[in-house]
Amino acid sequence: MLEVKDINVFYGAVHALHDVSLYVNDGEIVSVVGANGAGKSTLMWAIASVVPYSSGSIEFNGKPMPQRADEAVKKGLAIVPERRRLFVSLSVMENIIMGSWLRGKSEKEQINKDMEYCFSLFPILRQRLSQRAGTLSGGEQQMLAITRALMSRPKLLLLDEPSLGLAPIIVESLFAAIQRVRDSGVTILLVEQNATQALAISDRGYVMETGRVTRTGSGEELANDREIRRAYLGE
Amino acid sequence: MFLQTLVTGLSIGGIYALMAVGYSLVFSVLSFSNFAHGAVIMLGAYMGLGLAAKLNLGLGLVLSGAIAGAGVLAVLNERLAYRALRQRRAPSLYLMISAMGCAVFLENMVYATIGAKPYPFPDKITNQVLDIVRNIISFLGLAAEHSVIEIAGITLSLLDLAAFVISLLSIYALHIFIMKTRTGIAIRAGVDDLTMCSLMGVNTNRLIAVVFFLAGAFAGLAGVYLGIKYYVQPTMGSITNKAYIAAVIGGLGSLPGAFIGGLILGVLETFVSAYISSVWRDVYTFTLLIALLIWLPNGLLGHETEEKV
Ligand SMILES: Nc1ncnc2c1ncn2[C@@H]1O[C@H](COP(=O)(O)OP(=O)(O)O)[C@@H](O)[C@H]1O
Ligand SMILES: [Mg+2]
Repeated sequence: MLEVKDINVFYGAVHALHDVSLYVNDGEIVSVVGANGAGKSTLMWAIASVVPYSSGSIEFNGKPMPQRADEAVKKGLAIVPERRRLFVSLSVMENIIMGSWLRGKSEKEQINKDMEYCFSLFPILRQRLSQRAGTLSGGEQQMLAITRALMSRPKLLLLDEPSLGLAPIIVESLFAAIQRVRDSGVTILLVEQNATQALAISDRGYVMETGRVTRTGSGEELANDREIRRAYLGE
Repeated sequence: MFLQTLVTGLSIGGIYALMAVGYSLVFSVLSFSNFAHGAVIMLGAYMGLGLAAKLNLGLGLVLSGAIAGAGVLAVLNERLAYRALRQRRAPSLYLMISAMGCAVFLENMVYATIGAKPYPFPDKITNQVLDIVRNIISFLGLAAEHSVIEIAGITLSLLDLAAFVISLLSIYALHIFIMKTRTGIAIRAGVDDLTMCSLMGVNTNRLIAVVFFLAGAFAGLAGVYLGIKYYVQPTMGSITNKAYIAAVIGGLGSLPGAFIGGLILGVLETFVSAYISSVWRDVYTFTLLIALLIWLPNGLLGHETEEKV
């Protein structure tokens, strides 16, 4: 589904990604874990064609990823970025409308079904439809950000630190929802600092340190790795 | 005297509001002050004048032509002078400087090709406007003289009345467009976060073109009004300095703010002229602006401005 090969990203003089490679197969949950500043978000923005990379390649379904974000989205990519980046002055419903921007009028019925599906994941949103997105609680905002992304019916969903700043109980239900989304056929690339929980639901994982991929393996392997536990799981 | 001054002030303010909307629209999405807006107003007036005087068209076509023409001009302005800067993520200061360059360029193009001579709009067009206003007034059961109406001791120019009503209605229509339509929702989404807007699949270049077209259309409307009321000449865009102030008073980027800011400025100015002195008008106005910005740095209805990614 996704193949990132040896990409390098610079912010001016800052070399944020060094020859980063990873792949995601259809139907997988793959997580990228690593400390703050490791380059995880940069990787996500590069995949989404928002941040340009200077060398290397990104292929999506066997074809080069389009250079422009709106074109990449048309190919079936959606992102829930770090800190959610909702349209805060828009209502919850308007955020959902923006999420389904690319889908024509003929799909109206299917759009309603998808919305119902999202409400089944996050029932609270149904009661918030006319509320401004910026006034939602942190957990609700994250639910809306995921809903907004799902409304485009993506094949690949990029999730950047969905658990950031949320209470543990909310994180738990969020991760359960993420698994349900994968089970419905959406492939997921998940970035987390919260490595334990991320690796627990992942088929495979990558570890990033200062702009490089330093380890890879199955979710289980990485979660049980002594070094990783010491570095990222606070043991 | 008081009521008369208030009403005159409101009618002037309506025009400021019409022009301020263009600044606010562009600022809301791209966070820069598009100082080429005044030149687009000026060229809108010339387009209207050309259609009226050279092609001898009626008011309806003159207005539609100037609105569409100025809209297209604003889109071209963005395409040629701003887009490359935007795509290189240039700081908004550079966009503003580019806009100032465009204003100087366009003004001097007109000097060089058409000349500095002021032209009035043909009487035919002015009379058409007055006829329409008089018809509406008599339909409402009131009586109007040739070009003024008197209600309860207040004299009001029909031209000003028309301008006030048109700016009120057109700004309201724009507001509805932005609040209710799909494109309007996308524009507001772009105001919040342009990058995320493109990650919804919105072609943001096209979205920005729509925003510039709307700003240009309002410029065309304002240009024709100014041309009818005064003259069409290369320097007429300078009145937009006031409109810009109106937009800042209301809170740059806010449409209701542009409207309220325009009215406040118009009324204030007229009161200073009437009760203090017309020589001091702009001194007082600018003092007020500075005082207001110190007190409310984001204007009356503006949001906290923060750098957008
Ligand atoms: N817009 C930017 N401009 C300059 N440097 C940046 C920018 N965004 C991120 N960086 C730098 O790139 C590196 C990687 O950041 P990021 O991708 O956000 O890491 P992570 O998501 O793993 O915390 C950091 O050193 C950060 O300071
Ligand atoms: Mg990050």
